Amino acid sequence: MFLRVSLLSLLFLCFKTQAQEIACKFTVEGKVFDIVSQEAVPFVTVQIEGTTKGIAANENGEFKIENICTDEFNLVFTHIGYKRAVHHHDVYHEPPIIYLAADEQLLESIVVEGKVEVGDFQSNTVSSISSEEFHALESESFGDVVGSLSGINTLTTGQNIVKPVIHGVHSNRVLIINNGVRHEFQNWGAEHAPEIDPSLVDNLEVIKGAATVRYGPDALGGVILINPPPLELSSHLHGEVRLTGKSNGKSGESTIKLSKGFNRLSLMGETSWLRQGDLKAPDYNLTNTGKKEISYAGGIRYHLTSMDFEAYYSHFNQELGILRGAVNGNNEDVQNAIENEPPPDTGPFSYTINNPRQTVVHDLFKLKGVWTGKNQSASFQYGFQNNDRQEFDVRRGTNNELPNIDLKLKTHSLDLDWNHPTLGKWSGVVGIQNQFQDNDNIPGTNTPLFIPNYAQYRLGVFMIESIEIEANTYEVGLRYDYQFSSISGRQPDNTLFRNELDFQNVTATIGLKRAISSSTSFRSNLGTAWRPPNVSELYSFGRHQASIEYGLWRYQLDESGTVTTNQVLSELERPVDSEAGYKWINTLTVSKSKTDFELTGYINYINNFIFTRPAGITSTVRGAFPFFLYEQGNAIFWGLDWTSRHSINSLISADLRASYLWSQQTNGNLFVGQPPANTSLSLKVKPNISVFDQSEFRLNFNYTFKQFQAPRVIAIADIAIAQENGINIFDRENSTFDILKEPNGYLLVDFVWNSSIGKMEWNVGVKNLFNTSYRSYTNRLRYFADEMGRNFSLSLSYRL
Amino acid sequence: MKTCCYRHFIWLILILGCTTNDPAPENAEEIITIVTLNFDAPGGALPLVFEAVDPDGDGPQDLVIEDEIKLAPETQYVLTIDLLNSLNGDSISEEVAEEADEHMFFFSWTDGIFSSPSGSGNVNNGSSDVDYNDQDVNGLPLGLSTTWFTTNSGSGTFRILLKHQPGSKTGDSDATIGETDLDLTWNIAVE
Repeated sequence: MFLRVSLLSLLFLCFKTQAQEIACKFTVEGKVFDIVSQEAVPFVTVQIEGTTKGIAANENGEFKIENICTDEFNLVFTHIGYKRAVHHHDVYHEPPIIYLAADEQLLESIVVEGKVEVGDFQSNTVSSISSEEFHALESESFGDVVGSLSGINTLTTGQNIVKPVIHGVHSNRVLIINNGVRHEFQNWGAEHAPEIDPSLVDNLEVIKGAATVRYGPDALGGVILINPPPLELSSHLHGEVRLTGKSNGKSGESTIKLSKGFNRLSLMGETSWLRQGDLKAPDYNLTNTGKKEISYAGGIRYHLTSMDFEAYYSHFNQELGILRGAVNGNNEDVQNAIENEPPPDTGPFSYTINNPRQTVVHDLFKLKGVWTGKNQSASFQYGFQNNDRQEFDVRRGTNNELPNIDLKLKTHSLDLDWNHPTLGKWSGVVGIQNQFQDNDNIPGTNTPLFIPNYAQYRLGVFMIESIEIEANTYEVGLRYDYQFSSISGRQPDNTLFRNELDFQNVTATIGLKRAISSSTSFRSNLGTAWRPPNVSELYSFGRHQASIEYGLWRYQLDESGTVTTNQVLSELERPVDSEAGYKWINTLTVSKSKTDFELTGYINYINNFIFTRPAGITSTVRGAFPFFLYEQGNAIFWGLDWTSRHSINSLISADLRASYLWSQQTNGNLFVGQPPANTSLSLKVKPNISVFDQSEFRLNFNYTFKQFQAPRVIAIADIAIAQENGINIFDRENSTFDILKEPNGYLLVDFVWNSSIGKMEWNVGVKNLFNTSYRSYTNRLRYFADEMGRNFSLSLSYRL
Repeated sequence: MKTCCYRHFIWLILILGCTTNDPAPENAEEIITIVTLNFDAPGGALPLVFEAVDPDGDGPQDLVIEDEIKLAPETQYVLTIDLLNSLNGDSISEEVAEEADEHMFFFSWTDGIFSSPSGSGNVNNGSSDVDYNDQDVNGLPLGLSTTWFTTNSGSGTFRILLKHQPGSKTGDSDATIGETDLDLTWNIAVE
């Protein structure tokens, strides 16, 4: 996969369309690859449809057809043993790269043209999931799919809420670009997962460097780019019907995808449905961990010579349950829940979803136009997103039917980009990004507002330029951002407070990509990133389960260290600076015939890092609680990622992945729940079994180490004793703490058999083969229950 | 409130459209701010009232238990518990009574203060040795009203624990089941 990205970048350097405006003077050139091996396919026949004009590619897979009379035409690629491919080309577009699929493969042949999104960042480290691997992961949650890449982990709340973590940072420090639009949701909450259904996604890439310059604030850790299936012209009706069943949770999922391309028009539609009951740990049920999901999407593209218009709509609707045994009213309840195994309120299997639960809806509408001219292109894109989030806790009386968090977030965005013609040796892109956002609390929760209402306007202007000098490509980027927000909230006694805030920032990036030899390349990127503090960090107030937090502007500390919260502050009393990140990331990539490997090293320094620290214990009628205050400091993250692939012979290959992260605040404070070191080995065997068209057996060993960088432990009993004796245990030492020791390391073994006959394909798999009981350090419910036990899955798909 | 826009004339028009709606007021219905213990003596002794107050609910201000419980020796008392949300005037004890089948009070005390019930309460062991005067629809005890006989003298602590046990309140459900709505410990003396 890395190979493909680097090959693409190389190819863009090698081929340039020779467009001439004299009749029959148009030219097209390109190169043909095998989609699986990524090696050039020699002597492929290339023909212009409806004419006798054609040519055979040379032994390197390269072709060039000259003296073409029209500026738009269909190219037909045929070769023995491969599926035919048709590509509609106009001479203003980038040279096509053709990936042919062998007859016996289920994959379709594809053609790629133009710079892919990541092309804007040649010096940055990009990881992607190959289409084969993606197919096997489609029925997982979005976070779990992203988490399968090296250097990416997940922050989970039980099994249903999964957030991606890039190099140790998450939530508002990771940006998701869904179909070219910044995915906007209530990202501040650790228990708010992105509303994306991976079964409708076609490709996924992760930029591991700070890519704020291109994509805007928040991208301190990195950027996740996801795209639906491309809208291709001149393609036959194709698609897929897929059914998946899993034993753990007795879940069923069905997905249908269809697309058809005409001469100028292309259409795409897809839908997915999922139902899951209570999951099961090896020794007991995980009561109330069911899930329901419905999602659908549709797209249309209209093509004119040098113009393309695209409209897209997607809808996501999810209801999910949270482990019943994780609910608690005070610290003693937490202690009971920790000590009890199985967790409290464990019941028999059920599909019913009770409180605590979440319902989320996300809609995206997008309109895009692209103009392609001579050596340049420009695009505009309008996006509208609607996100509804309701969270239900276990409450008394009729309040049990009411959400305690009920938020509606509407986002409009308008982006303009221009890939300018090369100026001397410089090529690049400039753009303007506008965003307007409106967040409202829906009345009727009967609980104090956790975050206030706000309206927010953002403007960003950026420029990224690159220059090639011999084997080196140098990149520079610069961006200016401005953000204005209007905030209105209420204190618990319903006193209104308002504020207006503005933030602005300049970010920059420099990078180098160097082709050391034909098989080895090196990338280095130094990027700055920023993000303004979000409303929850400034204004959050109150108790959520057994912890109480006060945002940066919701508390005052007097000289004796006493905390009061009767006043709402502003930037005048307590200035809060934006977080500013500096991430330097380096990657060495070696691709040889039998072995590929990639080694990445990074360091990320974040200034004004916003975090919570324990500040004291407050007693309420429910008992004693520790409370946490938001503060700012500085933090350092560094680490290494390794990915390699080794072909032992034509039948057997092995993939090895490992990642290590070190993170700490500069005052010595450690973080709770950072991903521990992790390594995985995947053995693949592809035997030739005559009954099947193709067959692959995969055995995965995944070992997660114990987190040796875990903070100190203060048991709940010690908190209670301190409170009884009137001692503030956080007076002298206010570093972060955990209430339980970090879990031990664990080995998980998975097995998958993937095979096909004709257009039928199936995946038979088992996860956690040995039904190992374990707890993950990055699961926020690790105190209460084990992770999921053995899970058999069967997935059948039929390709049209 | 400060005006932000003087430096940004270009964006003035956009920003004028950028003001948010005020959120509607919300009544925090579940907070208990005042807990009142009414000790009434059917035998004619002086009725006694004790309060615990937490004016800011989940705020950092500590709960204050106003005074020590002082009971007369060798006297029968009926204890009724009132729970109030003074932020909006709602009676939480009425809500608890309406949902008696999901709630239960547990008590523990220093041995020797009461002659009946004897022992030290049902917080740490499930056996019900508290004299409940009220029951839910399933015939299980609730505890908004309980009966106590004092000894001739003694002192120590008196703890009241209210558990919310939706779907899990049974004859066997003890004080470790469910979520805690209330957990208060008073100093107590019989003299």
